[in-house]
Amino acid sequence: MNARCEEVQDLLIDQAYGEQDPAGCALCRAHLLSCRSCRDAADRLDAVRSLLDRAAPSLCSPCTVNEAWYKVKAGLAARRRREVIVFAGVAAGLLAAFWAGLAAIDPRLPIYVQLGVVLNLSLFYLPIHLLRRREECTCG
Amino acid sequence: MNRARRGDSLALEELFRRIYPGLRGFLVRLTLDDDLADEIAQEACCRALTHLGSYSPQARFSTWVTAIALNVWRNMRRHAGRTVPLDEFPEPAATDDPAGQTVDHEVRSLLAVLPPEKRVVVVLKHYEGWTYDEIAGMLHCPVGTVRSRLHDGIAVLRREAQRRGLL
Repeated sequence: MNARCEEVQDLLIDQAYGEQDPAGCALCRAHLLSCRSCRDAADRLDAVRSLLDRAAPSLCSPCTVNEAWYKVKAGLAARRRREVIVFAGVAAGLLAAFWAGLAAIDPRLPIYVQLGVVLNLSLFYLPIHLLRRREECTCG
Repeated sequence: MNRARRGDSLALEELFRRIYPGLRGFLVRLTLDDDLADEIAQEACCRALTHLGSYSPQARFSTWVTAIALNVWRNMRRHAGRTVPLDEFPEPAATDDPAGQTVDHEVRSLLAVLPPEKRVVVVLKHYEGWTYDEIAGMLHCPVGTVRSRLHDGIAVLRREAQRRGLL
């Protein structure tokens, strides 16, 4: 096996899976015409690929899909509930902490001013939470 | 897709029914375990449908969902160390086509020989037909790594198939 054979045999898999550029394909084709050992290597590769193709396709019955959908639907509802609880808990905690801080700084502050400040703050929290959810990466 | 993003339950169900069979089929080949494949596919669909807002249409939807499923699979392996060792590989149940089933079992047990990081590339490339670039994106690794894992994987399969007299 010479250097060209090594190069071609390295390219055979890429060619078989359509990852070869036209120049590489032409090189392989031309070399295979004249090289018995590389033709054998190509045949062995084809044999492995057809063996893999002989595996039965993985079938998914409508019943399996239905069953899976009910589970996923329940999972989605549970996630939504959990999210609402976490959101409400965090929001309430933050607002309570802020309110307590506000009252500690100036206890003479009228209650309606305190309420106004806390409500304004809560109006900021909602869009921040929604934006964060939108940008959250699910790929982790 | 837009209706599903707004939380329309019919649209979500339609989207699920479109993606689930293919995703499960891929995961059965990857995990070689039908129950585990179901579990991963359901978790991946749940995550995908919950976070539809973060899907960017520049990538194919199936690429995005497959990448999520691969993350779920990796996390499950990391936490549970769940794999199918050769000696536990299930024997095929009797059906109308024993010859076809034997071949299927042979191929499954061949794939089980591959280490998971090579098997995932072989399955994504051979059965799912993704490009090297797409696979590299899904697995968060360089294209060269994908290529060398495919080459190694096919070489291992060829040696093992020859050893078993299948070629």
